Amino acid sequence: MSIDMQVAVNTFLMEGRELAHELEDGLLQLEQGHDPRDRDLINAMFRAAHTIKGSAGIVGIDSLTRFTHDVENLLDRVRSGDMQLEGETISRLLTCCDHINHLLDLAEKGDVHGEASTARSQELLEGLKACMGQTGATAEATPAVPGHAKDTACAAQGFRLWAVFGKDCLRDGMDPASAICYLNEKVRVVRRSLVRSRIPDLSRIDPEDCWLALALEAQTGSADDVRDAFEFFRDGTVVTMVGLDADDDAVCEALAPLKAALHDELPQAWLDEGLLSAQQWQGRKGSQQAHVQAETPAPAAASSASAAASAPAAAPAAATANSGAAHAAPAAARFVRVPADRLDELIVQVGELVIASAGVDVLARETRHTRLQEAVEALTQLIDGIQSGALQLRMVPIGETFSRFQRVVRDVSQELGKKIALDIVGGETELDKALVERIGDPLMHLVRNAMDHGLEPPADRLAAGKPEQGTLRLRAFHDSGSVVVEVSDDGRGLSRERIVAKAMEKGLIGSADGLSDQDVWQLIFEPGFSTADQVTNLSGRGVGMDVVRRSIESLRGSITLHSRPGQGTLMQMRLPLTLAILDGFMVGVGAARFIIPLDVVVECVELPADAMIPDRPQYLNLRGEVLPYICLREAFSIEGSATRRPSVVVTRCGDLKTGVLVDNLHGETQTVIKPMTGIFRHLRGLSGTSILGSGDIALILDIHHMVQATVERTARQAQTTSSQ
Amino acid sequence: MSALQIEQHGDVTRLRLQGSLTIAEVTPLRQELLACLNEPGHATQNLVWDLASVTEADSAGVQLLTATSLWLQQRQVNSSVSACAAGLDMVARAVGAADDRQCCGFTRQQDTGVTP
Repeated sequence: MSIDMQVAVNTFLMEGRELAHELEDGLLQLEQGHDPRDRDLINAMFRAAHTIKGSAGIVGIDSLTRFTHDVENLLDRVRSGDMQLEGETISRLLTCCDHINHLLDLAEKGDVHGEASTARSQELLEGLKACMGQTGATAEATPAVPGHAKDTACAAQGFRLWAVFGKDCLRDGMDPASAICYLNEKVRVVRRSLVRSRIPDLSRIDPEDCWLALALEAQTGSADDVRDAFEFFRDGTVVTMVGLDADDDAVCEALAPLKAALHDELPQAWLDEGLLSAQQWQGRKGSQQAHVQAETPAPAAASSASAAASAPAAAPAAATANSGAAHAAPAAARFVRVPADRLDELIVQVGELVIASAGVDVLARETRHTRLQEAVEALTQLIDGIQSGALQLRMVPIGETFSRFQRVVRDVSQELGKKIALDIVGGETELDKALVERIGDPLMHLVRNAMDHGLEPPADRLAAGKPEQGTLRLRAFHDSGSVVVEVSDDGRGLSRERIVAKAMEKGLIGSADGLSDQDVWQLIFEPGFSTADQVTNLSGRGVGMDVVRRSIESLRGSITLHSRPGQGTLMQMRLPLTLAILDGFMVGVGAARFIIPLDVVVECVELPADAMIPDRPQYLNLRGEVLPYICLREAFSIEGSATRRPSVVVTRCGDLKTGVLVDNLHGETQTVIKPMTGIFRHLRGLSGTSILGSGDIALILDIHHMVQATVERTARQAQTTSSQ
Repeated sequence: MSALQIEQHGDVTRLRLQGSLTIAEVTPLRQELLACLNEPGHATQNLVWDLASVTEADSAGVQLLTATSLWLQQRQVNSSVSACAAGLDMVARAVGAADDRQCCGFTRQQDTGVTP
């Protein structure tokens, strides 16, 4: 496979999943009571299936083309009013969405024929045919039969169409002949004509440029058929059409964008074939509109497209469709798809720029040259702006992640026999893309736990005086420079008694005396803890909440839990806005610099003189509390001796307080994180590095893992000593 | 891959195009066509195209054949097509480059239709 094709396949695999999600989203809306006659929604779902099919065909994923063809047929029948989407059909289509994703997965692994899934595809397609059969039609009666046209009100209207294809459409993989063959399957074309004179002769032509301009007349069919056929033609292609009984004014209006595309050159071939009259070409509206089109092509095309989209299909009035914009929502045109690794690269480069500017700043200060310092300061401000702008590029709304739970909640509630509504609040809240990707699994644990353990069955809810349907809420908001993501339910809440009993049984606590509710709730984050009487497919195995907490903490976040018996439970995750920048606390040991994440720093104290005894266990008395501490000099084998007044930075990870013994405290700093790569990637206790303005490197400490490693090392030493 | 074979029968030059006629082949094929047709004696008054062995075609291929017929017309060369593969014929008809009388600008010879 060529590199270009591989890029196209990769792009499609990503878009295909988005489109499948779009289709699924529409189905879920309908299932939740959305108006099944909403044409916009039905058309959007049809287009999603149609685009999956078309694009899969282009990149050669046969399994998907074949499978989605029947899905598209069913949706086409819904679109034309032959059947309605409800109950069983929606469920089957949702299963088809899953299968589309499965076929995409197979294609990603190289199985473009879906050989590992042929039987399943067949089974699902039989199910779809059954759905269509229930409404009194058969799958064979779909419109994709050559020579047959749709038996809808608009089908009999017919149209005349003129198309000037974009110069690059052949290079982009778009073949006009394929589009017209597709159209031929839906409508009956009675005549057509190519403007041959527009094609340069053999000595002048670049044969990969497209010079095709053609007109055709169909006696059946509608604007929808044309849109479907030319959907994939983008920039530069102009397709216009009118109903067969359109008057001259309407034709003149439709021809305006074509005149610009043909540079006002009369397409004699179209006149010869009777697909256009000279009067219509030179019509009174023509010259003026062509001028407008030439000056402002984009808005004119966009408005034409919207006119086509909003015009009733049966209306004979002019409908112009610049296929480049015909199916794109206006907002979509404002976005550019950029590969995530390019953004990551940009962030790294900007990070380097910040570091370099800090170095320049240091040098400028040393010169004591006022104007130079002012210039560097201005430069630094600009770079700060670029940095925050670049970081902003990676920010994505969490809503898409939340909306994926619609399907989970639907399926799981059916499985559990519970009635659960999902309420999404703050879906527009933005956070770093890397974080969004990494909170998916913890969120899934929390959502499944809430549905399985938190929310009661309908009978229990009614008995408790609650509505039969429980509510699961996903909420996100910004707070004090962090993002807070909440999962809450109005279920039975946590049982203090059961948690305490289980914790005592597992030996986690001796008794619950003196433990606040908050302390008790934290016990569920202990490894292997579960109060569930039954292990289900969803939860209850006790592997989950501790993993959730570790996952969140690995993202430099924290999780807290609030619960009220009978009223529900709230899980609150607090996460940094981005993983690329760290608010840290810089410390020094000899000439080495280290950065401790600021959010784990509790306080700094001077090491008491009585604690400075070589070879004694490293503990100190912190206002009556025993505080173990790690000596950074020892941990990193830094030569030299400690200063006379070393300091201890007190940190907290989860419930564990630990000290870090250092020579000097340098204070708070905001730093760009450079991840550990290559052979250093697996080092425990270090989460990255940062380059200081002086050019020196500072190591960023991962306190959680560092403490863990120290505890393990100490335990091994103790074991060795006792065995000796 | 596509291949061009030339046979000279008196004052008739027969050109047989074989293989694929798609965007992937059009650039080298254009060079080959130009080189061949510029050869003395090849672009004669009677040029007959045999397109029966074209295995696949797309708009780019049809466009190249049309550009070739325009070039030949400018040189007042009579060119006709003796046979045309069904696939190529379908694509050419789709874009309006062919009908019952001509294919990509080449006159269809009466005794030859479309080769299935």
